[in-house]
Order: sequence, then structure tokens, then C-alpha cells
Amino acid sequence: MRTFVARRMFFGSMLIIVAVLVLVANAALRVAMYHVAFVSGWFLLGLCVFLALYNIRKKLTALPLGTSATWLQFHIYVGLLTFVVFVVHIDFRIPNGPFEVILALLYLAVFFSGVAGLILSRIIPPRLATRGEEVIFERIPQFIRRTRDDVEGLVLKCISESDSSAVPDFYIRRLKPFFDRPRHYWSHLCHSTRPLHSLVVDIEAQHRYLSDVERSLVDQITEYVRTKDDLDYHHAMQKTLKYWLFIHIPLTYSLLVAALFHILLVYSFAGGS
Amino acid sequence: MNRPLQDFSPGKSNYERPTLGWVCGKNSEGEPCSIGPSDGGNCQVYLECVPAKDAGGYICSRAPSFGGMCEKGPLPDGNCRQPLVTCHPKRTLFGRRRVVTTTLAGLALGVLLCTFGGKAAVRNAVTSPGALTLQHASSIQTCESCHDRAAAEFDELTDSLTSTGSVALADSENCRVCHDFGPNALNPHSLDADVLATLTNKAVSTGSTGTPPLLVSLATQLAGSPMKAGQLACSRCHKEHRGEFFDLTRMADAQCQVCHTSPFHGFNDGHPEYSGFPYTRRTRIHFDHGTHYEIHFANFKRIMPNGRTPENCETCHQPDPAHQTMPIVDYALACGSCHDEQFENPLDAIAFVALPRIDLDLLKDEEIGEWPKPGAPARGQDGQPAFMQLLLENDETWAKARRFLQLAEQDGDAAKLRAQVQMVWATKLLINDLIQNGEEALSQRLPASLGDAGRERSLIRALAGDGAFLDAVGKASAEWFPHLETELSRHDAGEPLKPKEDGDGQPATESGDASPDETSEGNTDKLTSESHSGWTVRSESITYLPTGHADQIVQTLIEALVSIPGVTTIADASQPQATHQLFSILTTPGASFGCMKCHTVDALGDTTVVNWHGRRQISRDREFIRFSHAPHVTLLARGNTAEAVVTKRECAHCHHLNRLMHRAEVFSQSDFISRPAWDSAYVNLPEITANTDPHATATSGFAPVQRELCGECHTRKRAGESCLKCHNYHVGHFSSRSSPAVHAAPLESSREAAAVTPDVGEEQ
Repeated sequence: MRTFVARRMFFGSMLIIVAVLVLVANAALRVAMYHVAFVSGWFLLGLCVFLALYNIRKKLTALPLGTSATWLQFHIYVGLLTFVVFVVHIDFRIPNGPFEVILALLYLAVFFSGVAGLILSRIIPPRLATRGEEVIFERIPQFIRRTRDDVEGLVLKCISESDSSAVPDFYIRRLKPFFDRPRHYWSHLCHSTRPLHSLVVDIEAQHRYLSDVERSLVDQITEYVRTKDDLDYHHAMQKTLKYWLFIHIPLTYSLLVAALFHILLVYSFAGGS
Repeated sequence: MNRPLQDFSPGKSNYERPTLGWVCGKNSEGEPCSIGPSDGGNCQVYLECVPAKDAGGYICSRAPSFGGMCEKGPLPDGNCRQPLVTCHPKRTLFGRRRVVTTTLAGLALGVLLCTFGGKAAVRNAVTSPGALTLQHASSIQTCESCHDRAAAEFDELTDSLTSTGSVALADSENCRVCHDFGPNALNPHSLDADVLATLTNKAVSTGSTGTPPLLVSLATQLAGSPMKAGQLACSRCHKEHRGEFFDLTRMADAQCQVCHTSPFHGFNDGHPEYSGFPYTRRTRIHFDHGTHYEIHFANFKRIMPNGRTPENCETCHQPDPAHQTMPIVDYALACGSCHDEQFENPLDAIAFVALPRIDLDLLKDEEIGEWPKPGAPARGQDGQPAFMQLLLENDETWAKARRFLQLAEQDGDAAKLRAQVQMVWATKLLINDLIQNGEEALSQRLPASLGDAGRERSLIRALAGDGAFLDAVGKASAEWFPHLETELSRHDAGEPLKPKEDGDGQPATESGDASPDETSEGNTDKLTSESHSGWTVRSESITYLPTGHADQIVQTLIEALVSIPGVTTIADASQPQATHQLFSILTTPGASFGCMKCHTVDALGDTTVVNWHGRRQISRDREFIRFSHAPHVTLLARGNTAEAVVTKRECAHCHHLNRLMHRAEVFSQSDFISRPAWDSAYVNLPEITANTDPHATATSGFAPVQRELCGECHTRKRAGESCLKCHNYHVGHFSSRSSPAVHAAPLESSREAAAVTPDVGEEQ
């Protein structure tokens, strides 16, 4: 099995070689006054269609089409290659017609969202493994519910075992919003522990007002706060991992639709050349 | 430590399918049902537990992950005992993404369909690929001006996907509405296909000068010829819609070379050597710089006391408006100070009309009427003047005379006598005809063989135009035959008209009127009347001396003569034809006026053209090579003294005078005629070889420019070595030379335009 480094070296080299070949072919065809844009355009469209097929491949799991991991590798490197082909296609200049600008922006949005997704998919998973329990994203609401139920059980126990309403009051004022739903998305995205620290500090500030029994229960609640914070972290990270595709995939299909009209336009005004 | 959140033990963890579109609405509360929504997003809680039939009744079938079997079990009728609480299913992430994707793609499709299917103006505004260059933006208002499809409907646009024709080639015709590049505009170099083939064959036969650049080789192998059916669409090279300041004419050198058989790396690395540049033909004005500089200008004071030596090259050569060529200035400025004298020698006058030499003694008893005393013949009047022979060629009376002359060899004096009588009357009839009918007489009498009809008309107009010739004829008639009309009418009536004898034994007119030509010198030719028009009436002839350089009559006469096929050869040397004789008089090296000493004649197909002028750049011509003297002369003058800038201008830096060339024999002869020099006897006329080939002789003494000279400055880092710096792509005769962006107009025919022969290029 090829190591990660070896695989990256191999595919990276292939990418560079193909990119150089594209540039050389472009230079040669331009010298020949060939309509390079036709060649590069069809090539680019073919690459984009191939890239779009990955989404379909992930749904056709029963067919022997190769592993998703292999497809992903091709998707990444072919996607990087499309940038070179795109730059060649637009002749190394900024388009300046309304439709062409939109088309270019669509492509760049797809490309850079893909690059962003690649970076995210390389950064986030290792981080998820370093914090708390690895949970399935769709089940996080259930786990939050369970955690909230456990915390509320402790709060009720506190009421029954002590005469003070400090803990319940504190819970309702400070902790309930926290346990209701996933919180602190941007802080977790920035890998900040400030919200958690703030909560813990607030909790510890209540210790002076609590009895030993209450203090013990509050310590348990603190553990659940940490657990909930971990769940929030996982929720934020996994949500990011899943939501970047809301940019990448819809724009891809819009790009393909616009490309079809672009082809129609090109052949209407410069076809047969 | 809290217990683990997830339990993956068997039966405790359902598979969370990533492609589900809907999820139970209670999932966000942490209590999703075990069935989940339907594919359509409907709650199916009634299916959470479908009690299974058992031997003892019904049992709960709820999945262990959702709590497993309930304690109480199903109702006896088999329905689930658990309270049914429906939810509002929510879309999964995947489902939401699918909605977004479909919505966005659908929106894009809808907008584009509306745009493309709507009004063409809106569509064109949206789909325009960018701003036009300034030159086009100022004159083009709509897309339809250049693109035929701009006004097409949507279905017509879709047809283009299956069309096999070239839209770009078709649209190129719209470019030609404003840009006139001739009938072969879409051919390479706007040249005719046959010309291109000739050039290509020549290049192939010449062979390659070196290895082609790698990129050019690659391009040739990858793409082959860029032409479609031998044509190139304008948009192949000229890319529009790239902004206001984009250079439409920008081309890489490699793009030029991909079509050429001998590509090279650079101007100083493989560019073909010049072949006789800039000389593509002999000079139109035969002139030898070497002889003039080495001999004539050195002997000015002795041989040309009124002559002026040119101060520098610019004395005689001034640049054309494009500074491409340095045509010679007018004759008066360049040559007149020395050569005006050659038109002033009265001995060079040519007889146009002369009285035939008759023996008056022999004819004393014949009825010839008045006849002046014979004097000395004018130059060229060795026999009847050639021009007069032309006037009499179709004359019946003169024909009779010729017949009698032929008989004279056998019949002796009798036939000779009759011949001379006929000659007398033919002459009188001619003169009378000219006086009475003028231009019409000339038209009828001059034979059709005198050049082409147009040139003959020009000659007749020149002769009769200002009336000087006819006036001279009238004066001559008054002096020679004072009662000509009376004589002719009496001759027609058959009345006797014997010449009288006066007191000195000379015949006189019968009417007794005094002869107007009474001299005591006898045979001495007397100039009886002179005229500043060039015509001179002598005692027996009418002669013509040019009024100066560019004399209209001499010019039209020469033009008429050179257009006669075979005028330079004669079948019988002893019986020269009149045209040949006249041609010899005017075109031999020692000929009268010496026109052909300097002016050459070019044969162009079926016609001949006399080069009365040097090269004149026709403003509408674009040639392969584009050159302007201005920047070159300015740059060369830098670093020199102010005097050098003004005077010498460093022409000699590029134009090296070959001082030995003047000794070549070719320069001792007229460029037009090749025969022993200075044969002024005009007897035993040998066959004359006319040199009408523009390529046949050398230049005017300058060595061709060498490529290395240009390469001193035209390097990549200095003056630049791009192909387009010196070469035009579109070559030919267009409506505007500098920027052929005007509506093509028919060329106006002009004598000057017709008279200036086009440069016959090296490739042609």
C-alpha cells in the first residue's frame, strides 16, 4: 500500500506533468493560430463533468466503479488541473463581458470552495480526534438531549437534597440555554475555549454559596458542561465539514448549466473555425 | 467520568444513511422514532411498531435501538398500545443540499433561457464578451454589424451546434465592408491563390536556411495548416472584445512562421538573406550615379557651364509621404540645369512634312501647278519624312506614285515622270486636306497600325490640340502654294496647270502670282517662318523641335510608336517601314532629343509603357516590406555634426555606390535599345533589340542592401526584430494604404496611374 507521502508525490508529479503539457500544447496551438479556446473549453468541460460524476459515484455504491477514496484522489488532482486549463481557456486575462464574468466567477467559486473543502477535510478530522468522544453528527441532538436530561436530573436531585434554590436558579439563568441546543459555533471554529472557560468560571464562582452536597452535584454538572462543550465542538466542526458542500455542489451544477449556454454562444458566433 | 454517549453494541446503533432526504422531526429533541419519515417527507409513526403475530397472540416488534419490546405489549386486536405522536419531519443535510442545488441550477437555467430566448438586444448586451477596441467602438453600434447571428432567434442559435459551415469565415465578410483588402482578402497575405503557389514553390526550391524553432515545429505537427479551404477568417488573427486599448494587429513572430516553409529563430538567426533588396527591377529612368559622380560632375565647368552639381542626395531625391521611397524630384530640379541644352539644338529638329524631291526640269511641261524651288533637305529628310509617309500611306494618289516608281526601273524616265506628278498632287492634296479638315484629316490619314487607338488619339490631339501644327501647315501652304485651292479645283476640273517660267528660268505659277519664296541664295534652305511652338516652316519642310523637356508631341508620338507590335524589327532592312524609321529616329541613342537615352520602356503583357517618371509610390499600394526612411535617417544622423544632419543625411551608410559599375557596357547604351552605340547614320538598319524587360538590367549604380546592415540595429534588445516591424501581412492594391479602413471605392483611371508601371516584385 502506497504511503500517503508517496501517493501525494506520485499524483502531484503527474499533475505537474499534465499541467506543463497543457501549457505547451496551448503555446503551440496559439502559434498555429488554432482556436485554442475550443480545445481548452471542451477539455475543461470534460474535466468538470468528470468531477461532477464523483457525487454520483458516491450514490452508486453497488456498481464496481472503484473505491470512493480513489475517486476522491482523482477528484482532487483533476480539480487542481482544471485551474490550469481554465487559465489557458481564458487566455491568461480577466474576462470582461457580463456573461463571461459570471461564468468565470462560478468556476472560481467552485474551485476555491473545493480547495477550501480539501483544506478543511485535512485539518478538521485530526482535531476531532483530539477532543471528547467521536460522535456521529446526526446523533448529536440525541446526545445533547440525553446530557440535558442528565443535568436536569442532577438539578432536581439538588432541589430534593437541599433547601437552597441556588443551583436550580443558576441552571435556569446560566446553564439551560447552553444545554438546549448546540452553541458557540464560531468560537469552536476558531478553536477557542473561551465560552467553556467562562461557564466554568461562573460555576466555580457559585461554590462559595453552595453546601457540600450542592457542591458535589455542581461538580458533576460541570463534567456534563464539558461533555456538552465537546459535543458542541464536534457539531461545529462536522457541520463545517458538511456545509461547505452547500457551496461547492450547487454551484457546480449551475456552472455546468451556464457552460452549456456558453457553448451555444461560442458556436453561434465562432463555430466552424 | 460520564458514561459514553454512543453505544455501538449489536442492535443498539442504527445505520445513519447519508442519502436520506428526511429525518424524524423529533430527532432534534433527541427522541427520533425508529421508522423515520417516508421518502416524501411524511411521518410514518404509525409504523413504529407493527406487532408481530405469535402463537399466543401479538408481540411488540420495536427495534432494540429504540427501546426494544415494550412492557405491556400490543393490544389484543394486534394494534400497538403506545400513544401515536406524529412529528413534522425535517430535511436532512443531504436533503437540504439537494434542494439548494436543484433550486440554484433551475434558477440558472431559467434565467439563461429567458435571456437567450428573449430579445436579441438584451441577449447581446448580456452575452457580450467585452468592450470593443476604440477604433471599432466609435463606428460600430450594434452586434449585427459584425455578427450575422446576433439577430438570430434562439432556435437559430441552436442550429449552429450542428452546422458544418464556418461562422467566422462568414462573419469575415462583414469586416470587409469597411476594410478593403481586395478580392482575395481572406487568402494568406490577401494574395491570389496562384501567386501564393508561385511564392511557395519558390520558397520550397530555395530550401530552408536552418532548423525551425521548436515551438513552430510543434505547432505545425499538432495543428497543421490554420486555413480552412485555403482561407483564414479575420478573427483568427484579430481578436476583438478585449478592451478598448487592445492591439488588434498584435502577432507573435512564431505565428507568422508557422505557415512559411523556412521558419527561423530571429532576424539575426536564420532570416533569409536579402536578394537584391531594395531593388526589384531596373530603374525607370536610366541613370548611372557612378558615371555622373565620377565623370560628369567633375567636368561641370567644361561641358556644362550652366549645370549645378547636386549638393547631396536630397537635391534629387525627396521622400514620398510615407518616407518609404525616395523618388526623384522633377526634371527641372534634378536634371534640367545640364540637360535642357539638348532640346535647344536646331539641328536636331525633325521633319514632319516635306516636299518631295522632284526634278523640276523634267516636269517643266507637266501640269503640276505651283512648286517652290528646292533647297537643302532638313535633318531626317533622307527621302520622305517618316511621319509624312504615314499620312500618305492610305492615299490613292500616293499609291499611284509608288506604282509608277516601281515601274520606273523598267520604263525609265516616263514612269519616273508620272510618279513625280502623282507625288506633287498627293502632296498638295495632303496639305489642303490638313488645312481644310484639320484633326479629322489626321484621324483619317494616320494608319490604324500606329499604336493602339487610345495612344493614336492622344497623338492626334497633341498635334491638333493647340493648332500650332495646322497653323504651320497653313503657313507652309501659303508660302509654297499660294493658290492651292484654286489649283486643286482646276485640277479636279481637268484644266491645264502647267508651271510658268519666270525671268530666271525657274518654273512659276500659271497665275502669275509672285512666288513667296524668293531668295537669292538658290539652294540654301531658308527658315521662312519660325514659331515658338516648336514648329518651323522651312523652304521645303515643316520641322519640329521640342519646346523643352516633356514635350507633349514627342511624348505622345513615342508612346504611339512603342505600342506597335514588332516596331523594333523590320522584314526588309532596305525598305524600312515608316513606323520603324520614325521609331529609329526617336529612340536610338544618338536620336533627336535623346528621350530614350533616359526613359525606359516596359513591356507588360500585351502593352508597353513608357516610363516618363521615376518610381512613384501609389498611396494605395501595400507591399510585403514596410520601410520608412525618416526614423532611420534621423537615427543615423545622431552623433554626427549638424552639417551632416542637414546635408549628407548618411544615405551612404546603407546605399553603397558601386563606383565600378559605371564602366559596364550596359551603361553606355540606352536601356531600351541594344545596338552599336552612336550609329547615327541610320543606314543599313540592323535588327533592333528592344530591352523591355524590367528585370533585365542592373540598378542605377548602387549595391543592394545587405541583411547584416539592418541586423546591426534590429536586434531584440535594440530596434526590435519582430516580423511586423518591417513586413506587412496584407499586401496589394487597396483603397487606402496606411489604414485600409474606408469603404472600397473604384479606382479612378488616370493617365499617370496607367503610365506608372507597378513594381514587379521579386516574388512575382
